[in-house]
Amino acid sequence: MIKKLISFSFLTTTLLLGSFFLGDTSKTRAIEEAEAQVFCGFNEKLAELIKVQTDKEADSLQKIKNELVVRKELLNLIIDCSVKEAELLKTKLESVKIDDKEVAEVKEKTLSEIDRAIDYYEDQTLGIKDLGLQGSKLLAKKILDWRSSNYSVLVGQTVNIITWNNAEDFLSVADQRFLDVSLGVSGIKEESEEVSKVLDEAKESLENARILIASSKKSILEFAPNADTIEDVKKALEELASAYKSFFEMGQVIKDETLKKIE
Amino acid sequence: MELEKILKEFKNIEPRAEFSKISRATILATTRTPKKTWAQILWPSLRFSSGALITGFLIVIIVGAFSTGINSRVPLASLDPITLKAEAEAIDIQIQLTALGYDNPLQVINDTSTPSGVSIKKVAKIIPTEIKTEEGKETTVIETEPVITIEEALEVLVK
Repeated sequence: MIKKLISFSFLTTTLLLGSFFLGDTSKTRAIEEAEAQVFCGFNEKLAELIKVQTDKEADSLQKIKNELVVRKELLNLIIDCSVKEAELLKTKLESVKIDDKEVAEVKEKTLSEIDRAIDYYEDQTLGIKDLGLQGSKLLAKKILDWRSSNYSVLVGQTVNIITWNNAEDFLSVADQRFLDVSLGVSGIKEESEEVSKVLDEAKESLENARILIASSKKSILEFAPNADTIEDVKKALEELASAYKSFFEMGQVIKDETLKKIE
Repeated sequence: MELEKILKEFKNIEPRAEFSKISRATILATTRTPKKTWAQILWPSLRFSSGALITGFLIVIIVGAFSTGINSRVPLASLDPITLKAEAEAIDIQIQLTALGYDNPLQVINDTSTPSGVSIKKVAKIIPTEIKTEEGKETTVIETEPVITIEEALEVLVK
């Protein structure tokens, strides 16, 4: 817990310092970010497709031949890009350290499914060279449908696992913060109703966050990502934000109480 | 010989009976000092040392209690606003990212884990271009070009 708190403080300090020093170099950073993107170059190839489809100089047979060539190139490009996308998803998920044993098992299962998705994409490239115009349209539809029904589930599951794990980490830090604050105010809790009230509010927010995180974990274990899962994670984070609001309020209450005693 | 005679006569000197009586009564009325044991000899210094020790211990306790009292009344370390703000802001950023949900899942994944990592999110491609301003100075203008997603490219191919 202490380690987490230290690493969390270190991370936030590094981020704050980093953002301070990078503040004036937003242009450079934007360019660096752009270079780091995996651009698939669809724009150029789609422009080429429109060009061959509307070529007035070529006869209809030549137009079909030209269009088929560009379509096949585009299909190969889409599949290459899809593989890169899946590999990126896998890398991101692999880099997440999960302490919860059950969720860690789901993470491994998701990684295996992403590997299967990469295999699926690579299988689709095998028949491209033999496709006709209609076949290229059907393959595009097949991949589109497969992505919608299968790949999107993997993306959703990865989003859920990563965001859930983050919320879990934030909850641990907030729990530790609550313990420290509770210990700190133990001497005056009995004397001050206000301190007691604010502490109870923080406790309630943390409990609500815990319930919501547990609820989203359930749907992660069921491998059924849906909008409710990430919504629960979001609500849990909002509850944690509410707990921090109480911590800030506590600081003010104690300051007021101390001033009253001095007077 | 005269001196010897005188000295011998001294042996016969006796106090007056009344003086003897008073002296005996005075001596008998005086309390006898009992013989001191080792414990009785050491006790005064022992008593002083233990007194000093107890006083020191009490001082430590009082000062300690006073310090704890201050800490419990002003738990500044756990309520340090800078640390609290940093933690609360990190949560706020995460809320905003999570709010994107499945609309832009790759951005959520990318920004959540490593803020400067690679991504295939739907963003505008940034093209830095050198242009000359009216004053003749060169400056960099960032133009954007919309990026087509895998789904959008596939939809074009389906038609």
